[in-house]
Amino acid sequence: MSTHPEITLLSAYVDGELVGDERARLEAHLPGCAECRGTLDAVRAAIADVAALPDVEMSAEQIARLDAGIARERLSFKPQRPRRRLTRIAWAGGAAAASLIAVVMLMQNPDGRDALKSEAPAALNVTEQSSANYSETTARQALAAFASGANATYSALTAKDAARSEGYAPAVGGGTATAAGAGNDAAACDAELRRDAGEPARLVRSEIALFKSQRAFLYFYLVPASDPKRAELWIVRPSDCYTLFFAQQPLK
Amino acid sequence: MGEDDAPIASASDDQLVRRHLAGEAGAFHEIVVRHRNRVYAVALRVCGRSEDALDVTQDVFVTAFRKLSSFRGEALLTTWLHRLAVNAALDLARRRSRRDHAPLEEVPEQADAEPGPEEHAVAAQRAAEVQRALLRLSPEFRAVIVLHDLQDLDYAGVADALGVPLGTVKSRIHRARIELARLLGHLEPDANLATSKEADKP
Repeated sequence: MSTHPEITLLSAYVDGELVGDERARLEAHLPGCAECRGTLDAVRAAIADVAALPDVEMSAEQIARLDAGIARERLSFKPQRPRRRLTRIAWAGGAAAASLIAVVMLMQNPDGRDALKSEAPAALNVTEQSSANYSETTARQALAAFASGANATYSALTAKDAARSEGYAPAVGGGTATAAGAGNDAAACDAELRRDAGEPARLVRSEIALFKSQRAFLYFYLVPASDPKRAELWIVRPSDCYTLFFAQQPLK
Repeated sequence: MGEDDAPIASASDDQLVRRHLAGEAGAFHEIVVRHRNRVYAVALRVCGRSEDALDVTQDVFVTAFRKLSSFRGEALLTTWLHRLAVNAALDLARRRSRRDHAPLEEVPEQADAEPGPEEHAVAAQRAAEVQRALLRLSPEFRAVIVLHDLQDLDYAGVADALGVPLGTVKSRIHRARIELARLLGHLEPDANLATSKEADKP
Protein backbone atom coordinates (compact mmCIF):
# COMPACT_ATOMS: atom_id res chain seq x y z
CA MET A 1 0.00 0.00 0.00
CA SER A 2 1.24 3.45 -0.70
CA THR A 3 0.82 6.47 1.46
CA HIS A 4 -1.42 9.23 0.30
CA PRO A 5 0.61 12.12 -0.98
CA GLU A 6 0.21 15.57 0.47
CA ILE A 7 -3.30 16.34 -0.64
CA THR A 8 -2.61 19.73 -2.19
CA LEU A 9 -0.28 18.09 -4.68
CA LEU A 10 -3.30 16.89 -6.54
CA SER A 11 -4.20 20.37 -7.76
CA ALA A 12 -0.57 21.11 -8.51
CA TYR A 13 -0.51 17.95 -10.58
CA VAL A 14 -3.55 18.92 -12.62
CA ASP A 15 -2.07 22.37 -13.13
CA GLY A 16 1.19 21.00 -14.43
CA GLU A 17 3.09 22.45 -11.51
CA LEU A 18 4.38 19.13 -10.25
CA VAL A 19 7.66 17.85 -11.56
CA GLY A 20 10.32 15.30 -10.93
CA ASP A 21 10.12 12.87 -8.04
CA GLU A 22 6.97 14.34 -6.57
CA ARG A 23 5.19 13.89 -9.85
CA ALA A 24 6.49 10.38 -10.34
CA ARG A 25 5.40 9.37 -6.86
CA LEU A 26 1.94 10.74 -7.38
CA GLU A 27 1.56 9.02 -10.71
CA ALA A 28 2.64 5.76 -9.14
CA HIS A 29 0.12 6.23 -6.34
CA LEU A 30 -2.91 7.04 -8.44
CA PRO A 31 -3.74 3.74 -10.12
CA GLY A 32 -4.12 2.10 -6.76
CA CYS A 33 -6.11 4.81 -5.03
CA ALA A 34 -9.73 5.44 -5.90
CA GLU A 35 -10.02 8.17 -3.34
CA CYS A 36 -7.27 10.29 -4.83
CA ARG A 37 -8.59 9.67 -8.31
CA GLY A 38 -11.98 10.81 -7.12
CA THR A 39 -10.47 13.98 -5.72
CA LEU A 40 -8.64 14.52 -8.98
CA ASP A 41 -11.89 14.24 -10.89
CA ALA A 42 -13.56 16.72 -8.57
CA VAL A 43 -10.68 19.17 -9.00
CA ARG A 44 -10.85 18.84 -12.77
CA ALA A 45 -14.59 19.38 -12.73
CA ALA A 46 -14.24 22.52 -10.66
CA ILE A 47 -11.57 23.83 -13.01
CA ALA A 48 -13.78 23.10 -16.00
CA ASP A 49 -16.73 24.89 -14.43
CA VAL A 50 -14.69 28.00 -13.82
CA ALA A 51 -13.07 27.89 -17.25
CA ALA A 52 -16.53 27.78 -18.80
CA LEU A 53 -17.45 31.14 -17.36
CA PRO A 54 -18.01 33.63 -20.13
CA ASP A 55 -15.35 36.22 -20.74
CA VAL A 56 -16.01 39.46 -19.01
CA GLU A 57 -16.21 42.51 -21.17
CA MET A 58 -17.00 46.01 -20.17
CA SER A 59 -20.04 47.53 -21.76
CA ALA A 60 -19.85 50.76 -23.72
CA GLU A 61 -21.45 52.59 -20.84
CA GLN A 62 -18.95 51.23 -18.36
CA ILE A 63 -16.09 52.17 -20.63
CA ALA A 64 -17.41 55.69 -20.89
CA ARG A 65 -17.66 55.92 -17.12
CA LEU A 66 -14.18 54.54 -16.71
CA ASP A 67 -12.70 57.01 -19.15
CA ALA A 68 -14.52 59.88 -17.52
CA GLY A 69 -13.40 58.79 -14.08
CA ILE A 70 -9.78 58.48 -15.10
CA ALA A 71 -9.85 61.84 -16.84
CA ARG A 72 -11.34 63.43 -13.76
CA GLU A 73 -8.65 62.03 -11.50
CA ARG A 74 -5.91 63.03 -13.87
CA LEU A 75 -7.01 66.59 -14.25
CA SER A 76 -8.39 67.75 -10.97
CA PHE A 77 -8.41 67.32 -7.28
CA LYS A 78 -11.53 66.18 -5.60
CA PRO A 79 -12.80 68.50 -2.89
CA GLN A 80 -11.06 67.78 0.35
CA ARG A 81 -12.73 66.46 3.43
CA PRO A 82 -11.44 67.59 6.77
CA ARG A 83 -9.83 64.94 8.87
CA ARG A 84 -12.21 63.94 11.54
CA ARG A 85 -9.95 62.45 14.07
CA LEU A 86 -6.43 62.24 15.23
CA THR A 87 -5.27 58.71 15.11
CA ARG A 88 -3.07 57.24 17.73
CA ILE A 89 -1.37 54.05 16.92
CA ALA A 90 0.70 52.20 19.44
CA TRP A 91 3.43 49.81 18.64
CA ALA A 92 2.14 46.36 19.11
CA GLY A 93 4.05 43.35 20.17
CA GLY A 94 6.87 44.87 22.10
CA ALA A 95 7.08 44.04 25.74
CA ALA A 96 8.08 47.60 26.37
CA ALA A 97 5.29 48.87 24.24
CA ALA A 98 5.83 52.56 24.39
CA SER A 99 2.79 54.15 22.96
CA LEU A 100 3.51 56.23 19.98
CA ILE A 101 2.29 59.68 20.45
CA ALA A 102 0.83 61.13 17.38
CA VAL A 103 2.43 64.46 17.47
CA VAL A 104 0.17 67.40 17.51
CA MET A 105 2.03 70.36 16.33
CA LEU A 106 0.81 73.80 15.98
CA MET A 107 1.73 75.02 12.62
CA GLN A 108 1.41 78.69 12.40
CA ASN A 109 2.67 79.00 8.90
CA PRO A 110 0.69 78.10 5.86
CA ASP A 111 3.66 76.21 4.67
CA GLY A 112 3.81 73.32 7.05
CA ARG A 113 7.38 72.59 6.33
CA ASP A 114 8.55 75.78 7.95
CA ALA A 115 6.62 75.00 11.06
CA LEU A 116 8.16 71.59 11.30
CA LYS A 117 11.57 73.15 11.41
CA SER A 118 10.79 75.11 14.49
CA GLU A 119 8.93 72.44 16.36
CA ALA A 120 10.99 69.54 17.47
CA PRO A 121 9.07 66.31 17.37
CA ALA A 122 9.78 65.80 20.99
CA ALA A 123 6.88 63.54 21.60
CA LEU A 124 7.99 61.04 19.05
CA ASN A 125 8.71 57.96 21.03
CA VAL A 126 9.88 54.80 19.41
CA THR A 127 10.65 51.57 21.15
CA GLU A 128 13.57 50.35 19.20
CA GLN A 129 16.87 52.10 19.41
CA SER A 130 19.10 49.75 17.56
CA SER A 131 20.82 51.34 14.66
CA ALA A 132 19.72 48.55 12.42
CA ASN A 133 16.21 49.75 12.77
CA TYR A 134 14.50 52.96 12.21
CA SER A 135 15.21 54.51 15.53
CA GLU A 136 14.05 57.69 17.08
CA THR A 137 17.26 59.40 16.01
CA THR A 138 16.71 58.45 12.43
CA ALA A 139 13.12 59.53 12.66
CA ARG A 140 14.20 62.95 13.84
CA GLN A 141 16.75 63.18 11.08
CA ALA A 142 14.24 62.18 8.51
CA LEU A 143 11.78 64.69 9.82
CA ALA A 144 14.41 67.38 9.78
CA ALA A 145 15.26 66.53 6.20
CA PHE A 146 11.60 66.55 5.41
CA ALA A 147 11.20 69.95 6.98
CA SER A 148 14.14 71.39 5.16
CA GLY A 149 12.94 70.04 1.88
CA ALA A 150 16.22 68.27 1.26
CA ASN A 151 15.97 65.73 -1.50
CA ALA A 152 12.40 66.65 -1.91
CA THR A 153 10.69 65.07 -4.81
CA TYR A 154 7.23 66.30 -5.37
CA SER A 155 4.58 64.27 -6.93
CA ALA A 156 0.90 64.18 -6.41
CA LEU A 157 0.25 60.84 -4.89
CA THR A 158 -2.03 59.30 -2.41
CA ALA A 159 -0.75 57.12 0.35
CA LYS A 160 -2.69 54.10 -0.66
CA ASP A 161 -1.57 54.40 -4.24
CA ALA A 162 2.02 54.67 -3.14
CA ALA A 163 1.85 51.64 -0.93
CA ARG A 164 -0.16 49.53 -3.25
CA SER A 165 1.79 50.34 -6.33
CA GLU A 166 4.91 49.09 -4.65
CA GLY A 167 3.17 45.81 -4.14
CA TYR A 168 2.36 46.39 -0.53
CA ALA A 169 -1.19 45.64 0.34
CA PRO A 170 -1.30 46.01 4.08
CA ALA A 171 -3.01 43.04 5.54
CA VAL A 172 -6.55 43.97 6.17
CA GLY A 173 -7.68 42.70 9.50
CA GLY A 174 -4.25 41.29 10.09
CA GLY A 175 -2.53 44.45 11.07
CA THR A 176 -0.85 44.56 14.39
CA ALA A 177 -1.42 48.21 14.97
CA THR A 178 -3.55 48.63 18.01
CA ALA A 179 -3.90 51.34 20.54
CA ALA A 180 -5.47 51.27 23.89
CA GLY A 181 -8.24 53.69 24.49
CA ALA A 182 -8.33 55.23 21.08
CA GLY A 183 -10.56 52.63 19.54
CA ASN A 184 -8.02 52.08 16.82
CA ASP A 185 -7.47 48.70 15.39
CA ALA A 186 -6.47 47.14 12.18
CA ALA A 187 -9.69 48.33 10.60
CA ALA A 188 -8.84 51.90 11.46
CA CYS A 189 -5.38 51.42 10.09
CA ASP A 190 -6.95 50.01 6.99
CA ALA A 191 -9.35 52.90 6.74
CA GLU A 192 -6.61 55.45 7.10
CA LEU A 193 -4.50 53.85 4.48
CA ARG A 194 -7.44 53.80 2.20
CA ARG A 195 -8.30 57.40 2.46
CA ASP A 196 -10.10 59.29 -0.22
CA ALA A 197 -8.04 59.35 -3.39
CA GLY A 198 -9.30 62.80 -4.08
CA GLU A 199 -7.19 64.32 -1.38
CA PRO A 200 -3.78 64.06 -2.94
CA ALA A 201 -0.87 64.44 -0.65
CA ARG A 202 2.42 65.68 -1.90
CA LEU A 203 5.03 63.08 -1.51
CA VAL A 204 7.97 65.05 -0.25
CA ARG A 205 10.30 62.24 0.43
CA SER A 206 10.30 58.52 0.44
CA GLU A 207 12.72 56.12 1.94
CA ILE A 208 13.10 52.44 2.13
CA ALA A 209 14.37 51.62 5.55
CA LEU A 210 14.29 48.97 8.16
CA PHE A 211 11.47 49.55 10.52
CA LYS A 212 11.30 47.23 13.48
CA SER A 213 13.65 44.92 11.64
CA GLN A 214 11.48 44.74 8.60
CA ARG A 215 11.82 46.38 5.29
CA ALA A 216 9.29 49.14 5.05
CA PHE A 217 8.43 52.09 2.95
CA LEU A 218 8.51 55.45 4.64
CA TYR A 219 6.54 58.12 2.94
CA PHE A 220 6.63 61.71 4.00
CA TYR A 221 3.68 63.67 2.85
CA LEU A 222 2.65 67.22 2.91
CA VAL A 223 -1.06 67.60 2.61
CA PRO A 224 -1.41 71.19 1.60
CA ALA A 225 -4.89 70.87 0.20
CA SER A 226 -6.41 69.73 3.41
CA ASP A 227 -7.63 71.98 6.11
CA PRO A 228 -5.93 72.08 8.54
CA LYS A 229 -2.66 71.60 6.75
CA ARG A 230 -0.48 68.92 7.98
CA ALA A 231 2.43 66.69 7.29
CA GLU A 232 2.33 62.98 7.62
CA LEU A 233 4.66 60.10 7.87
CA TRP A 234 3.42 56.74 6.68
CA ILE A 235 5.26 53.58 7.42
CA VAL A 236 4.06 50.73 5.30
CA ARG A 237 5.20 47.18 5.29
CA PRO A 238 3.50 44.04 4.09
CA SER A 239 2.20 43.00 7.45
CA ASP A 240 0.75 46.19 8.81
CA CYS A 241 0.78 49.91 8.62
CA TYR A 242 1.76 52.61 10.99
CA THR A 243 0.87 56.18 10.60
CA LEU A 244 2.17 59.14 12.41
CA PHE A 245 0.02 62.15 12.02
CA PHE A 246 1.39 65.58 12.44
CA ALA A 247 -1.63 67.74 12.56
CA GLN A 248 -2.08 71.41 12.68
CA GLN A 249 -4.36 71.24 15.58
CA PRO A 250 -5.99 68.52 17.56
CA LEU A 251 -8.87 67.07 15.72
CA LYS A 252 -11.88 65.56 17.38
CA MET B 1 14.92 53.99 -33.07
CA GLY B 2 12.07 53.70 -35.45
CA GLU B 3 9.91 51.72 -33.03
CA ASP B 4 8.60 54.82 -31.36
CA ASP B 5 7.15 55.98 -34.61
CA ALA B 6 5.09 52.87 -35.01
CA PRO B 7 1.37 53.33 -34.73
CA ILE B 8 0.27 53.19 -31.13
CA ALA B 9 -1.96 50.19 -31.63
CA SER B 10 0.93 48.02 -32.69
CA ALA B 11 3.36 49.24 -30.06
CA SER B 12 4.34 46.80 -27.34
CA ASP B 13 3.38 47.47 -23.74
CA ASP B 14 6.93 48.50 -22.92
CA GLN B 15 7.01 50.87 -25.86
CA LEU B 16 3.72 52.37 -24.76
CA VAL B 17 5.07 53.01 -21.29
CA ARG B 18 8.14 54.64 -22.75
CA ARG B 19 6.17 56.74 -25.14
CA HIS B 20 3.81 57.86 -22.41
CA LEU B 21 6.69 58.90 -20.22
CA ALA B 22 8.15 60.73 -23.17
CA GLY B 23 5.00 62.80 -23.21
CA GLU B 24 3.15 61.26 -26.09
CA ALA B 25 -0.55 61.86 -25.83
CA GLY B 26 -2.66 58.83 -26.41
CA ALA B 27 -0.11 56.29 -25.23
CA PHE B 28 -1.66 55.95 -21.81
CA HIS B 29 -5.11 55.72 -23.26
CA GLU B 30 -3.95 52.84 -25.40
CA ILE B 31 -2.74 51.10 -22.26
CA VAL B 32 -6.19 51.52 -20.77
CA VAL B 33 -7.91 50.27 -23.91
CA ARG B 34 -5.65 47.29 -24.11
CA HIS B 35 -5.93 46.16 -20.50
CA ARG B 36 -9.19 47.42 -19.08
CA ASN B 37 -11.14 44.23 -19.68
CA ARG B 38 -8.49 42.17 -17.99
CA VAL B 39 -8.43 44.44 -14.95
CA TYR B 40 -12.21 44.65 -14.85
CA ALA B 41 -12.52 40.89 -15.15
CA VAL B 42 -10.29 40.27 -12.17
CA ALA B 43 -12.13 42.89 -10.17
CA LEU B 44 -15.56 41.63 -11.12
CA ARG B 45 -14.86 37.98 -10.37
CA VAL B 46 -13.26 38.83 -7.04
CA CYS B 47 -15.65 41.54 -5.88
CA GLY B 48 -18.85 40.18 -7.33
CA ARG B 49 -20.43 43.56 -8.00
CA SER B 50 -20.09 45.48 -11.22
CA GLU B 51 -20.10 48.85 -9.44
CA ASP B 52 -17.28 47.79 -7.17
CA ALA B 53 -15.40 46.33 -10.09
CA LEU B 54 -15.71 49.58 -11.97
CA ASP B 55 -14.37 51.53 -8.98
CA VAL B 56 -11.46 49.13 -8.67
CA THR B 57 -10.70 49.39 -12.37
CA GLN B 58 -10.65 53.14 -12.17
CA ASP B 59 -8.41 53.07 -9.10
CA VAL B 60 -6.00 50.74 -10.83
CA PHE B 61 -5.57 52.90 -13.90
CA VAL B 62 -5.35 56.10 -11.93
CA THR B 63 -2.62 54.50 -9.81
CA ALA B 64 -0.95 53.25 -12.95
CA PHE B 65 -1.02 56.71 -14.42
CA ARG B 66 0.49 58.26 -11.33
CA LYS B 67 3.10 55.61 -10.78
CA LEU B 68 4.09 54.81 -14.33
CA SER B 69 7.18 56.94 -13.96
CA SER B 70 8.55 54.55 -11.39
CA PHE B 71 7.48 51.42 -13.18
CA ARG B 72 10.85 49.99 -13.81
CA GLY B 73 9.97 47.54 -16.49
CA GLU B 74 11.49 44.68 -14.59
CA ALA B 75 8.11 43.11 -14.59
CA LEU B 76 5.64 42.99 -17.39
CA LEU B 77 3.04 45.71 -17.41
CA THR B 78 0.36 43.04 -17.18
CA THR B 79 2.01 41.55 -14.11
CA TRP B 80 1.92 44.94 -12.45
CA LEU B 81 -1.68 45.56 -13.45
CA HIS B 82 -2.71 42.12 -12.22
CA ARG B 83 -1.11 42.82 -8.90
CA LEU B 84 -2.80 46.20 -8.57
CA ALA B 85 -6.14 44.80 -9.64
CA VAL B 86 -6.27 41.74 -7.45
CA ASN B 87 -5.09 43.56 -4.34
CA ALA B 88 -7.52 46.41 -4.80
CA ALA B 89 -10.32 43.95 -5.47
CA LEU B 90 -9.37 41.86 -2.45
CA ASP B 91 -9.36 44.87 -0.16
CA LEU B 92 -12.81 45.81 -1.29
CA ALA B 93 -14.13 42.26 -1.16
CA ARG B 94 -12.83 41.77 2.35
CA ARG B 95 -14.38 44.99 3.52
CA ARG B 96 -17.68 44.04 1.98
CA SER B 97 -17.76 40.63 3.55
CA ARG B 98 -16.85 42.13 6.87
CA ARG B 99 -19.51 44.77 6.89
CA ASP B 100 -22.33 43.53 4.77
CA HIS B 101 -24.36 40.69 6.07
CA ALA B 102 -26.37 40.32 2.95
CA PRO B 103 -24.85 37.91 0.49
CA LEU B 104 -23.04 39.42 -2.43
CA GLU B 105 -25.30 40.07 -5.32
CA GLU B 106 -25.15 37.84 -8.28
CA VAL B 107 -22.87 38.83 -11.03
CA PRO B 108 -24.98 39.88 -13.96
CA GLU B 109 -23.61 37.88 -16.82
CA GLN B 110 -22.64 39.95 -19.79
CA ALA B 111 -24.96 38.15 -22.11
CA ASP B 112 -28.18 39.49 -20.73
CA ALA B 113 -30.92 36.94 -20.58
CA GLU B 114 -32.06 36.81 -24.13
CA PRO B 115 -34.54 34.24 -25.12
CA GLY B 116 -32.26 32.05 -27.17
CA PRO B 117 -31.60 28.46 -27.88
CA GLU B 118 -32.01 26.02 -25.03
CA GLU B 119 -28.30 25.30 -24.72
CA HIS B 120 -27.55 28.96 -24.34
CA ALA B 121 -30.03 29.31 -21.51
CA VAL B 122 -28.70 26.22 -19.77
CA ALA B 123 -25.13 27.39 -20.10
CA ALA B 124 -26.04 30.81 -18.78
CA GLN B 125 -27.73 29.25 -15.78
CA ARG B 126 -24.76 27.06 -15.04
CA ALA B 127 -22.45 30.05 -15.34
CA ALA B 128 -24.61 31.89 -12.81
CA GLU B 129 -24.37 28.90 -10.46
CA VAL B 130 -20.63 28.77 -10.80
CA GLN B 131 -20.32 32.49 -10.19
CA ARG B 132 -22.53 32.21 -7.11
CA ALA B 133 -20.34 29.41 -5.83
CA LEU B 134 -17.24 31.51 -6.46
CA LEU B 135 -18.75 34.31 -4.41
CA ARG B 136 -19.30 31.96 -1.52
CA LEU B 137 -15.60 31.32 -1.29
CA SER B 138 -13.49 33.57 0.86
CA PRO B 139 -11.95 36.47 -1.06
CA GLU B 140 -8.52 34.86 -0.78
CA PHE B 141 -9.74 31.62 -2.31
CA ARG B 142 -11.56 33.52 -5.00
CA ALA B 143 -8.45 35.47 -5.88
CA VAL B 144 -6.24 32.43 -6.56
CA ILE B 145 -8.94 30.80 -8.67
CA VAL B 146 -9.51 33.96 -10.67
CA LEU B 147 -5.83 34.59 -11.28
CA HIS B 148 -4.95 31.04 -12.18
CA ASP B 149 -8.01 29.58 -13.83
CA LEU B 150 -9.36 32.72 -15.47
CA GLN B 151 -6.31 34.86 -16.04
CA ASP B 152 -4.03 31.93 -16.83
CA LEU B 153 -1.25 32.94 -14.50
CA ASP B 154 0.94 30.11 -13.32
CA TYR B 155 1.54 29.48 -9.61
CA ALA B 156 4.57 31.75 -9.62
CA GLY B 157 2.56 34.52 -11.25
CA VAL B 158 -0.24 34.14 -8.73
CA ALA B 159 2.26 34.18 -5.87
CA ASP B 160 3.83 37.34 -7.26
CA ALA B 161 0.52 39.11 -7.73
CA LEU B 162 -0.64 38.32 -4.22
CA GLY B 163 2.69 38.69 -2.50
CA VAL B 164 2.49 35.27 -0.89
CA PRO B 165 4.80 32.26 -1.02
CA LEU B 166 4.39 29.61 -3.67
CA GLY B 167 3.40 27.02 -1.06
CA THR B 168 0.52 29.23 0.00
CA VAL B 169 -0.73 29.40 -3.57
CA LYS B 170 -0.52 25.62 -3.91
CA SER B 171 -2.44 25.00 -0.76
CA ARG B 172 -4.96 27.74 -1.25
CA ILE B 173 -5.83 26.83 -4.80
CA HIS B 174 -6.41 23.24 -3.87
CA ARG B 175 -8.62 24.05 -0.93
CA ALA B 176 -10.51 26.55 -3.05
CA ARG B 177 -11.21 23.92 -5.68
CA ILE B 178 -12.36 21.39 -3.11
CA GLU B 179 -14.76 23.92 -1.69
CA LEU B 180 -15.99 24.82 -5.16
CA ALA B 181 -16.36 21.13 -5.99
CA ARG B 182 -18.54 20.68 -2.95
CA LEU B 183 -20.65 23.72 -3.74
CA LEU B 184 -21.10 22.62 -7.33
CA GLY B 185 -21.95 19.05 -6.57
CA HIS B 186 -18.77 17.34 -7.64
CA LEU B 187 -18.11 16.18 -4.12
CA GLU B 188 -20.23 15.29 -1.16
CA PRO B 189 -20.51 18.28 1.15
CA ASP B 190 -18.82 16.52 4.01
CA ALA B 191 -16.10 14.86 1.96
CA ASN B 192 -13.01 15.16 4.04
CA LEU B 193 -10.59 15.51 1.22
CA ALA B 194 -9.28 19.00 1.66
CA THR B 195 -7.52 18.36 4.90
CA SER B 196 -4.11 16.90 5.12
CA LYS B 197 -5.29 14.31 7.59
CA GLU B 198 -5.43 11.99 4.64
CA ALA B 199 -1.75 12.42 4.09
CA ASP B 200 -1.04 11.05 7.53
CA LYS B 201 -2.77 7.80 6.92
CA PRO B 202 -0.46 4.86 6.48
